[in-house]
Amino acid sequence: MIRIFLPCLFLLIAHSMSGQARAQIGELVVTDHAESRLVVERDAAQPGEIITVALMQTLQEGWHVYWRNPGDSGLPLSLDWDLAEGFDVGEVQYPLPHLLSLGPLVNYGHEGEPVFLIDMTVPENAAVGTIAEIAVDATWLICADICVPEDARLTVSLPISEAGGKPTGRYAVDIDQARREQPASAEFDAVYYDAERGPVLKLTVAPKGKLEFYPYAPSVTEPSAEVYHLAHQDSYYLGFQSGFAYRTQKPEVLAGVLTVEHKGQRRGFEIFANRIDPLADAPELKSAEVYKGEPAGQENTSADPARARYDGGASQFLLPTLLLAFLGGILLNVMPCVFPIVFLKAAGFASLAREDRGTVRLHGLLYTAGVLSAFAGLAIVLMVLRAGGEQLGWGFHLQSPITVAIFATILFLVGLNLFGLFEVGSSVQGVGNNLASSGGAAGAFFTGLLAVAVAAPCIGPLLGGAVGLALGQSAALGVLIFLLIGLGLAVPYLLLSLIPAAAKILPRPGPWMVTLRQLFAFAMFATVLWLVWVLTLQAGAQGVLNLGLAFLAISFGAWIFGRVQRGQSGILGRVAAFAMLVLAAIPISRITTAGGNGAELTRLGDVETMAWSAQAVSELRASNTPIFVDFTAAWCITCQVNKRTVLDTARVRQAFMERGVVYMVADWTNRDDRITAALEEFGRAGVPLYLYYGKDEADPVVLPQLLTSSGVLERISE
Amino acid sequence: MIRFLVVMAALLWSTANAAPIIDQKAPDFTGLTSGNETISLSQFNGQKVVLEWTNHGCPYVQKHYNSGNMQSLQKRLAGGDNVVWITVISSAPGEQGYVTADAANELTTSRKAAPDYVMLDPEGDIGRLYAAKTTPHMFVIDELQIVKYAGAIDSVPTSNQNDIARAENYVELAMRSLRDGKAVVTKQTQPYGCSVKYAK
Repeated sequence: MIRIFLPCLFLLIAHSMSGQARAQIGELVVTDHAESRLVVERDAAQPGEIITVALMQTLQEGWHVYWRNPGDSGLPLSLDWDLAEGFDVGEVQYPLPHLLSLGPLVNYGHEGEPVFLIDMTVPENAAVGTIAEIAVDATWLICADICVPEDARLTVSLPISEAGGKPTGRYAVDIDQARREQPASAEFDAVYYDAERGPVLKLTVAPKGKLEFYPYAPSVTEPSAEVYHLAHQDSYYLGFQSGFAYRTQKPEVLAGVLTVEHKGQRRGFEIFANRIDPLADAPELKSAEVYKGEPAGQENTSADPARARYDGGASQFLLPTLLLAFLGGILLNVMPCVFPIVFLKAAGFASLAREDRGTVRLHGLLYTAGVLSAFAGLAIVLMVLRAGGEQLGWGFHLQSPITVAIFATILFLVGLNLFGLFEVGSSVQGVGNNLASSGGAAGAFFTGLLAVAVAAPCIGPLLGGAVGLALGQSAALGVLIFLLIGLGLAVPYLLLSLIPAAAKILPRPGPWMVTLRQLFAFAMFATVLWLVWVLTLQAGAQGVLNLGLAFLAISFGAWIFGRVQRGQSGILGRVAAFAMLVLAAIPISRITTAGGNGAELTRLGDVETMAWSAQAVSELRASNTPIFVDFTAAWCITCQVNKRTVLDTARVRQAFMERGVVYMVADWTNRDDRITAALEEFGRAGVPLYLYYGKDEADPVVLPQLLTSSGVLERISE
Repeated sequence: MIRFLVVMAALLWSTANAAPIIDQKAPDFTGLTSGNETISLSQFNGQKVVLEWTNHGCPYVQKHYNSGNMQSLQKRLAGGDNVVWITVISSAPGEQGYVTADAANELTTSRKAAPDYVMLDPEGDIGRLYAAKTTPHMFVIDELQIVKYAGAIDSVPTSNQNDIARAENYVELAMRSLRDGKAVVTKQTQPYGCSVKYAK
């Protein structure tokens, strides 16, 4: 008997104890897009005390719920309590809100695992030894791209004891953390005044970091409108676009939460800003867009000091920027990726040596026109796409493996043409004696287009600042900057063709020209080799195979075409050559991004490497680990040169390891909007970009785009 | 080219922040209806106009259609009075609530709704022009094309049909004040519902 009774007793005790331990953690309620439960901070409560109850949610990835002021749309949490006699609850204390944008709308809300705190008063006359049942009907709106209202009845049991209770396990830790993350009372002065556009918040002295203000009342400010930032003397100003509630009646007190993000940490302050009379000496607040175009004065115009520094640096004066664009364009002629085009152009010029002045001039102008059209075209396409919300940067067209394959095929054809397999142009009277018309007028224009398309990735390193600035400008000014770069690129040839004396420096034509032409073909093949390598990273082995098939078809077509031109084949040959051209297009069109393993870009000897993400950066920053970030792309030759000659050398690798520097790679070979956004934060429109986050340093240092070993070593040993 | 112009226009709007202002002229718009008619707001000069932003997949819209509340409001307001009811759909293609003209007409029939026009605004131009934020989001415009009310349909922001009975219908109140020649009391409220599904 006792042998049965004892285990039963144990089970009974164990059961009641486990019930006891679970009692203060309410049952998890699972709805379509969230899991919710009520938790009390301690496992028992004393009569008369105030105890914290938490509503803890785990939201599905990509879904959000709303802060007390939900912003443009959405609804906050609604709680309908069902409590025993004498119990009372206070207002919901929301976690710090985040800005969530949905197209043109901006909401204030929470993602991940929000913890909502509620203070509950236990009545003095609560009977010790009893268990209070706490229940709430919670309703919330949860949205991703669509919105779903959800509700749940959540319950938790709370024993009442004379001694009170202890914190309950890991949930107590979460509650404690949620409480510490609640907005603190402001340790600075906050007032507001009415300005033309709406309320302006004046903070003296504002905490350091990135500032965002979330008003408690809906429609006081327009959530989606730009907030104007200005640091002036020892105050910080935030200018808002008024919402309709503000226009209806200006509040005596502008209340809300100010969040401060600094060194990866986010804190909140509760603000009650009294209204003051508009300041007589109020500084003028402007849109950040305005500052980009104007010389930045002494004032720090942005909440993010790093950002302000780069904007200011690039936009000192407009004229120098335009001059820089022009000089940069000239310099582009000696950059590695423009070399093949320089060869092509040189071949063209050599062939023009015997032509009359008129033709030479025409070709010079056509080449310039080609360059300028390509720049204007690329710039306009880029700006329109960006205006449409696409996250694209300079050189974006090479992010598509199909474009890379098309370029490779064109350059391959150009190489074959230089070898003399076939000719371009109408009058073909033998390679030796009339090179002039090979290429022709259309050829000159086309060479200009090709020069820009291929040179685009090289523009980043040389003119990063100017291009970044151009993209941030009004469309007309942006296009002007690009056109000046183009003019610089074309000007050496333009001068050669326009100045009669200049033509005299060209050597006399002769059989050497054929040899030179054939030698230039190898420069084309070298470029093809580079593009094929880019393709291996973008589209893997299958992509390269497809390109190979296209090469086979196109070279066969070119060979037949050459025979037709020499009169060795008739109309059938023409048809066959055209068929081969079409055939070559098929494998190219089937190339897809296959996410080649990318190991080529990310490996750096035995140095600890990591893929870049903003989160990884802030985590490593939190542990004060130095980070070297390499924003790179396979198609960016400068990036590869830097990697091979500087980063991937024994000395640098050694130094990275000794100092525990983590090498982080942001691979922009294929389109990646997060990386584009990060580049823009540093005022760049393309790669390369090198950042170094040193130990104990708040902001990263931007390294030059052409790295040197000594520069990198010096930087990381500081 | 058209796409380029639309983008530029949208940019201008977003910077100008041309949300309609109460007691000021309603921004004019022109667009295509589900009946394949091109209409402009200005052609209804002299009539009262109600604008209703909708998305049939949104639970807050469903609250007012499944309960028959929206249809009955449409019929009550249209009765005798010189009122034009325009339902606007600003969901972008691929987003919740986007419909073709035929599907829009089918929805009107199946829900027994009585709008005078259903405007198709897949580019979101009219939505942005009016700063339409949620579905539903309501606007009342008087005979002189002045905006008299903007905001929520009623005073209880939930998705629960049972709340309709105890809610004040702001659109009906505004229309009644206008009909009686009185000033509208509640001129603007925070709209509630799903966010308008503009192209991202």
